[in-house]
Amino acid sequence: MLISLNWLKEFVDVDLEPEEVAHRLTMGGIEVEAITRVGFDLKPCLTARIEKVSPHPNSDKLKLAMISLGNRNETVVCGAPNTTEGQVTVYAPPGAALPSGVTVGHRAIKGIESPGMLCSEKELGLGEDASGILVFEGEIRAGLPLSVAFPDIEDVILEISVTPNRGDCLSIIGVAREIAALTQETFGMPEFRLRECSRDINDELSVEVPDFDLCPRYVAKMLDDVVVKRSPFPFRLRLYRGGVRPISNVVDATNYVLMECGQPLHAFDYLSLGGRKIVVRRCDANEVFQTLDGVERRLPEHSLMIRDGKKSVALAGIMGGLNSEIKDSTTKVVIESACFERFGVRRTAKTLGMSTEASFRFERGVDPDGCVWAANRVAHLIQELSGSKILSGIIDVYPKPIDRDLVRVRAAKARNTLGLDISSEKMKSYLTRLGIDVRDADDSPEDFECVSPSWRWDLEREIDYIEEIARIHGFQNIPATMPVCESEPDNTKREYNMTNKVRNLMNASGFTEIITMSFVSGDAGKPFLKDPESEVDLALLNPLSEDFAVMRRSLLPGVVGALKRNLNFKNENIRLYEIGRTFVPVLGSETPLEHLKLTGAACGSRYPDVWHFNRGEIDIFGKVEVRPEVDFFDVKGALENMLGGLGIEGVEFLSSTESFMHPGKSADLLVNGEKIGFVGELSPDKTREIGLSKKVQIFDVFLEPLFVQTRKDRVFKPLPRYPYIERDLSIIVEANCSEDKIKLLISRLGHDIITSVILFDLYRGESIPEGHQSMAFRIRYQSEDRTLTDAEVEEVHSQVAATLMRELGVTVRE
Amino acid sequence: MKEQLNSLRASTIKLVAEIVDPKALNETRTKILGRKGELTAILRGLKDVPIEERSAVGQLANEIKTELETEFDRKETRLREDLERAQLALESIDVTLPGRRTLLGRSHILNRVTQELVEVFSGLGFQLAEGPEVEIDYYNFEALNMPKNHPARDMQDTFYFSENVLLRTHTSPVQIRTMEKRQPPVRVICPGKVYRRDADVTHSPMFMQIEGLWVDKRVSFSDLKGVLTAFTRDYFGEKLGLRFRPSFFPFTEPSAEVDIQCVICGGSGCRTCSFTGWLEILGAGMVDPALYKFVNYDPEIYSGFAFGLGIERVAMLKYGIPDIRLFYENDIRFLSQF
Repeated sequence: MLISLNWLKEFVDVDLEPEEVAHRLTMGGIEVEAITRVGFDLKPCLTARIEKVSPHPNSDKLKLAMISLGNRNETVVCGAPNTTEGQVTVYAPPGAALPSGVTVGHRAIKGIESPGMLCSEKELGLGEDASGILVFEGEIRAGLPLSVAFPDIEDVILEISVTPNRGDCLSIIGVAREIAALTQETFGMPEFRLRECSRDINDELSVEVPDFDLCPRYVAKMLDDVVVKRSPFPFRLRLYRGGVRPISNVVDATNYVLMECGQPLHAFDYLSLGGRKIVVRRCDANEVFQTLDGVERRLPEHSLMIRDGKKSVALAGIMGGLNSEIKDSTTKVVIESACFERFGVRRTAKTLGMSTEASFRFERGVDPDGCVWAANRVAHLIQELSGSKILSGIIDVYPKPIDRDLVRVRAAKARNTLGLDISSEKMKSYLTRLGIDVRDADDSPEDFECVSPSWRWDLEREIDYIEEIARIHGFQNIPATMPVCESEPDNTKREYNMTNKVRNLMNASGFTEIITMSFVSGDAGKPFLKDPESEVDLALLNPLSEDFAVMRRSLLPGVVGALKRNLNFKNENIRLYEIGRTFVPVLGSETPLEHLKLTGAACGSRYPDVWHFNRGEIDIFGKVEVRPEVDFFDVKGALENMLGGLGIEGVEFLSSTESFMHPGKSADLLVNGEKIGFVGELSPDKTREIGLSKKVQIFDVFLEPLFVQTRKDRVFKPLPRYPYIERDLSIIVEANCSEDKIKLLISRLGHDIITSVILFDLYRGESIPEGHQSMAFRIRYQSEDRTLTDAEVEEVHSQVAATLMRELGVTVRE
Repeated sequence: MKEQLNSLRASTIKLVAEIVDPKALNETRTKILGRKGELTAILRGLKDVPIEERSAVGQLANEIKTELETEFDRKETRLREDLERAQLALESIDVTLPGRRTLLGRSHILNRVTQELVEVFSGLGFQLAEGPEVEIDYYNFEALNMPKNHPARDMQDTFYFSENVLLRTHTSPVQIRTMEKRQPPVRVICPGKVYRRDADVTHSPMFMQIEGLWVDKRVSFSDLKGVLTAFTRDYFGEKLGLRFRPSFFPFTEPSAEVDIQCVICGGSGCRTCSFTGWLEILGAGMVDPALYKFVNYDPEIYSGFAFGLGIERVAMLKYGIPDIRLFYENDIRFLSQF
């Protein structure tokens, strides 16, 4: 909300610098977000009376205006259509820098010198009207500096942010009251004298409030002989500075009082009301109503309406109706100053997606005791602005006056809650400053009882008053202490620490972590589902856009999307992973299952493009690959590192069954026989479908089963004490024979002196028969209790060779 | 004969000094000091030397032999060293070339900041708690003192799956779930992803938060100030100013916003801090007693405080990142900067 310091000073005697006022407010809980000085750049501008208007010799559109500046005259060129003799307007001399950014010059316009110019309110930053020059109403002397003629021109605007509990601060008076409490300066309400005519409102209007549960109080006031016209400049300026667009004197007066005291008001054209009465009750079923913004709205159930004898005329507390708005021809006006129930207004406004100055305040609670004052205040202002008659009397329907509870505040409780040593007297004085009615308790010398002022809806409980004590005392004046606590072992970070360990291990394999959105488009997951039609997504009712429509069932769409995005930016050698949750709907449960997953993707060169890596590698066909691409084994290796780092045992990789993977280059990851993920190359058709230009390796692993596995403790194995002997075994075997199979055959022989079998070379190139491959194993022999002899190693080694020859028909190469 | 010996000595020293090749040196050594060398040849004439001089001449011959041996040795070492130096010079490499590095990835900056924060709060005695991201209304709003139609719900525009199921708008539901499970003392921090229906330069529909909760006997607002002061000093630096100012959250009372002195301008005012000199970094307050009835704590016995902060905001301030969307675009050029 925008608060004019000039206006504020009408109610509170505050003589502090604007920055200090802002600081006090901020430290008191009303955050000042910006301080803006306005109008100070208009110092050179003067009031000017137009003495004579004559045509411009070289232009049909322009005129020459001879203006009086009190002690001298000037003739300026002016293009405004409204320029008329006798008007008092604003003259900006050459050199004046206007808020619009224009510096006024002394220049010839179509051949005629113009020393300065006449200005519109828009050019001066004093309004939005740019249709003509600003013309002042009433008697204004010519030649006065603008800020002398209108002291409000120079002002400081505070932009404040009011928390939802402090609806009472959504007005100048509310903020003034708060400043008075914070600074102990004097606060006073504006005074005015109401001049009423002899006719009584009750002879012209009656008000019924059958649904008083939604409208605790309804006050009406009436005026006659109203002349609807533009409000005078100083009045319009106040509204403009407060961010409200001036419309006409009647509407402006209601807005002015709203800004002044926070009471939303509405003005009806009396002659548009049928049946000379107002009825406040809920809408009809499926009622459609046209609000004054011209929109027809289907009203939600329980919407409270203001009706005349026959029809709805306003959406209570939110917006008036088009059928009863103030028109230029309006002469009789009904002022509504009501207190609508907060939650009722909120429900209707929220359902209709509306938020107005009125509904915003009603939702936060307005002062029920302020309705009558506001109604009289606005009647008084309309009379001032249009010379109309105020009908005597006021209609006030307030069947069940709102009572504020008496709340007991225990001094000790306040001290303990705040950790502040403060006397009961001081607490009471703070609360009194806020307009709270504080009474001593009969049964305690320290405790006291409080009744909140009518404008404070947020003071209902002891803790609410304790907060007020802290606020006025100043949070900065409360000490900082460290709480005492008993230490306790912490076993809560296990999964968190494991997750971080996975991160570190993936980082060590060159993968960079990403975070993608938990919601994806409805189509994003489809490429990665076996049967996209049968699997139901968890869909948002109100997504931001179609791109974020459903909760992800897999991290793959996000990870692959990030990869694609990077490829588009020519970041071509990338390894990405994400750790995050997937959301799988469960039949019969409101909430989905959330699984923690590790998903990644890689593509591009295996090595960085650096001189020492650029000699290339020899592949299994004996060909030199100059810049080898990341392949299955790179990504599998990263997973193996991760699993090894976590100490997971019982890991197997078996040919994968995932439909979107390359059938020959993908594997399922099993731990102790249970499938927990997969790894490999995305199938060529999916790669095309997703629109990727390169081969991509992906992996996807459930983390929770791994974390369960790692509970197993590792046990120390004694270090070998005797030397090992290594023998190589090179065989030629059919190309589909797996390393696993050979290792299994060797292990079945049951020789405990074989401690490891490593495939150190694999070759399918020249000199190897078609459909075959050469595999070279290095077998390590070692005993725990003796130094092995060459002879015994040789014996076992040849047995291994013989077994392979027999079982697989391999040729052993010498 | 003395003259002969001295002359051989002088000529040899001169000769050795001129030799540049080890092979030539070796040949010269044999030629002069070898069994059939020049020195031996001279010494053959010893028998013709008068007997009384013989021992002096013999001694001189020995001295000269030793001296020349040393001379040859020294020269040999020099030549070997020269050769080796030349060899090393040939082997020299450009040490400014990049080393053979293993590829290193890195954790996402937001997760790293989270880890740092968890570390600091762990040190202050907090345990850790996590909860579901898809929540029910009760935990996200109702039990946090935000009944339906409460205007404070406007502060957090919510994504819904149904009237009752939503994406959590803060990690506060984890606090309720934690308190439901145990009686005080409770000291937990809850990091995690949260969701609000908002998207611009400073708002992402998904973002990360960390919240803390401390409930025990006799916990006061001054303790809240103490713990958060300790945290900000630890994380942002000892010298940075700190202020607590009143605010409003439905689940705390009294409520406070905590500002730190602007890390960019040091408090003198700049664009980052909207020329106020201060940056809002934390929301905090004493747990509203209304919450205790939802979790069966006795507000007359227990009191506590809670606080929350946005991970992105911390990271943006700490690293001068201007746009929150950068965190979730996952451009490797961004991610590898931190």
